[in-house]
Amino acid sequence: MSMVSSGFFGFLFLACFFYYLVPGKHRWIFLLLVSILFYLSGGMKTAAFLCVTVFTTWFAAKRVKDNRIWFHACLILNFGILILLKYKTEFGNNFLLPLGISYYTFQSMGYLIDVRKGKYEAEKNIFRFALFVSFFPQISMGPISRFDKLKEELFTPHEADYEKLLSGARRILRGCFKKLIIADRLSGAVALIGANPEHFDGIYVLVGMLFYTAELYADFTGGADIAIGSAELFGITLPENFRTPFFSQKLSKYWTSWHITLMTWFREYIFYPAATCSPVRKLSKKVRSRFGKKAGDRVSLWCASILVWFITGIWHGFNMSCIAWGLMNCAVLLISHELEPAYEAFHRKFPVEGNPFYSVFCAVRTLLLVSCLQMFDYYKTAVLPFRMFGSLLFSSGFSALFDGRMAELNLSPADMVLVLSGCILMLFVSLSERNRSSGGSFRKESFSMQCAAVSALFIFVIVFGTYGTGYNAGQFLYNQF
Amino acid sequence: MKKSHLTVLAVTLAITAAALGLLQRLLVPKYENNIVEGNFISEYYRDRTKHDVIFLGDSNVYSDISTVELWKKYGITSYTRGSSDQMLSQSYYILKDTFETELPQTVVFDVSSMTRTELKKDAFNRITMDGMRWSLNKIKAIRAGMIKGEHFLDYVFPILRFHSRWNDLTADDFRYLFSRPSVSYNGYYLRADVKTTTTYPPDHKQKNMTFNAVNAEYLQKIADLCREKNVTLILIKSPSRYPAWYDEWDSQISDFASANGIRYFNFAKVKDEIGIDYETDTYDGGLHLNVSGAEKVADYFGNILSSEYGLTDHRSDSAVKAYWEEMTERYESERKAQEAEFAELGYVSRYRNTDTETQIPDGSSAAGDSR
Repeated sequence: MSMVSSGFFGFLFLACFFYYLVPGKHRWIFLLLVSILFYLSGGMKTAAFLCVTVFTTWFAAKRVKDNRIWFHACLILNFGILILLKYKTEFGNNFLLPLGISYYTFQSMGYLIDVRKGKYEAEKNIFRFALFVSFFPQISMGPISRFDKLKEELFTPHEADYEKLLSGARRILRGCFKKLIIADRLSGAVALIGANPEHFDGIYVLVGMLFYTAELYADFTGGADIAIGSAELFGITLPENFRTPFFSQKLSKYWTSWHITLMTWFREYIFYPAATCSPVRKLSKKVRSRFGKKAGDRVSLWCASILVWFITGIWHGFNMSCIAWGLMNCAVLLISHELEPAYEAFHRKFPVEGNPFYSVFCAVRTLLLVSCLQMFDYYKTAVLPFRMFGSLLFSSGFSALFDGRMAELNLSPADMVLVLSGCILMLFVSLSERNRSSGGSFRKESFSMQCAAVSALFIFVIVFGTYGTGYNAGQFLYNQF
Repeated sequence: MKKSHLTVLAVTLAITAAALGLLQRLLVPKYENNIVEGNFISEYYRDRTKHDVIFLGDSNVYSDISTVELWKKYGITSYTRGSSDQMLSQSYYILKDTFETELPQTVVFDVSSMTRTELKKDAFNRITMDGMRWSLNKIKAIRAGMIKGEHFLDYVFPILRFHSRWNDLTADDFRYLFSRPSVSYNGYYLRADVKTTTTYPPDHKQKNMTFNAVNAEYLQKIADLCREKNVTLILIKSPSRYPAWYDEWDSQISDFASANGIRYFNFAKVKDEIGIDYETDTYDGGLHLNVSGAEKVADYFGNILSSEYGLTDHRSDSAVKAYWEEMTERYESERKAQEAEFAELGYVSRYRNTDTETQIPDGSSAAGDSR
């Protein structure tokens, strides 16, 4: 069930309506039932994999504190299922990819590792654990939550709070606005440019790059808005997944504000264990004794970073372009890290930090850097992006925008105006919410202003959204993982 | 929740609903020019007079028989509830809908649509269904006729289907925002232009010439409904030059008619007797008849209806006469205007682009197919 379909919104409305009619202490059971119903609407067969993950993780978690075998067996089984199904083409199987398999596997395995480390106690009730794994607003594309934080939200009886209901509705509509008005409107042009690099060369590489960046941002953050807003209707607060990433002054900041829960998961469960594991420690010791302390300290950082970004790349796709994308990000981050002393020396000599123009320059630089790195994912090969950048630099200039190829992108001038206005609106909303939680500024508005905003968003989405007959509203891109 | 908040919420809901209602009116196709047949189904509800004959079927029935000529020559009051590519299921529910308003003496059903198994575009569904008033019959008709990709909710709230027209709005959308003048003549589609074609698409006989089971079921339902309501059902086949109407189909209809005690007239077989000349009596190369051909069919069939079915001549009924005189005047005026335009330009500008343009987005040309 797509999260921008009328079926989903009908389902959400009914679930929310009946949720508040159920007695408080039983509400989590109701949520579990609707989550199961939501998952089964995507197919009965794939639900078996979710059941396996729920049962094995719940069963193993109760034993992992004093039994390493259960811990490792559970990790191997669940990551094995994920790898086998996610890379089914490579393994030659025909299973359908279960909805949200990456997200529920990461969330479950994070729970298992936390219990093993003694961060919190294992959940005794399998049904409560099942709700943690399958909570329907977040299962298809995150955010990835931690059990100790989400359980308070899930199992505490929430009373109907009209401010939260309104805030949730507004968040959902904001997500629909991004997804249906911006992302889906651009998706056709993005696909066309990416699939025809010989035809759309020169300045069109830049057009494709910027369109793709806007599409990804609107699609991903739109999906997160819908997930978080849907949970809010039940009084449940999910962690934020995106925090104005394109205001980041540097790439490392960007990666702490983009898909936050996934990157946090990688950091906590892959980076830190990898940096402190025995082989890396031994290697670090050897390098330290031979090349000095500074070089030795770098070993763990470099090894763990390369591993994390290699896995991040593979998670996006089992191909060279995705691996190249991951490793290029890693290279830029590590080089930036190594140049940190040089930057500091430069800034001591030329104190531009804090200057608003410099901040804008850095934000634009990050945006362009991220957009360039995404070209590996966009063109689906590891080599073509280099050729296309060459074409951008050496082919005809802006005049090519008026040679007729723009008309082939199936974007009317009105569509362009709409996309541009939408992007400007996203920018202003992000600016107003900068350094604040998304709902923070909203709650300060008067009730009538909140109602007016929800009404205006609803009308805008209904009229200008790309949906219905004649459109094939794309799935959310993060659904594919 | 505070009382003041409830008031604000209620006002917001009312304003949102009103704004969406207004936008829906603006965004739905108006069908006042170009694809006028999109208004035919809804125009029926404006006519408060009773009808002795109700015609049902696809575009052949609304093009090939002039309701005004039936009145002028025989005093027969009739209404054509035909629509482009009307499916059998839709004909059945439109008939049920009609019977809730009136019980005519005769229902005439054009069997041309028996060969149609499914619609390729939702545009035809919209043209038929959007004009039908809301009732259980409409709900059943929608559910029976929806094609892949369509949603029932899109019929309840047409803005969900037509919202993308925001980029294609024309002056007509504003001009006809609140009222739409009638474009049919008691459901008849007046075309005075002539387009002769000497070549016709090749015949494409299928391996299995048996009518689709669903269509056969609905034809039986139509017959049963008429029997139940004590209304005479007549089956006709319009005299189109193409698509081909094979003997296998003709005999199946004849057999059905015999088995159900219904009369069946295949006008294509008696086209010479009717006097149809495909050089002058068609506006689209033999697929549909123009007003000249439609009047010839009305003359021929009206005679049968009067003499063999004893339909009353209402021309002496002053109340009915007033309505039909006004209709006749409008009909003659439009006919003359079209004839004059055709004589001068060689085409009727209103219909010039009906084969390529559409008021329904997604390239679903409502006029480009067989109708």
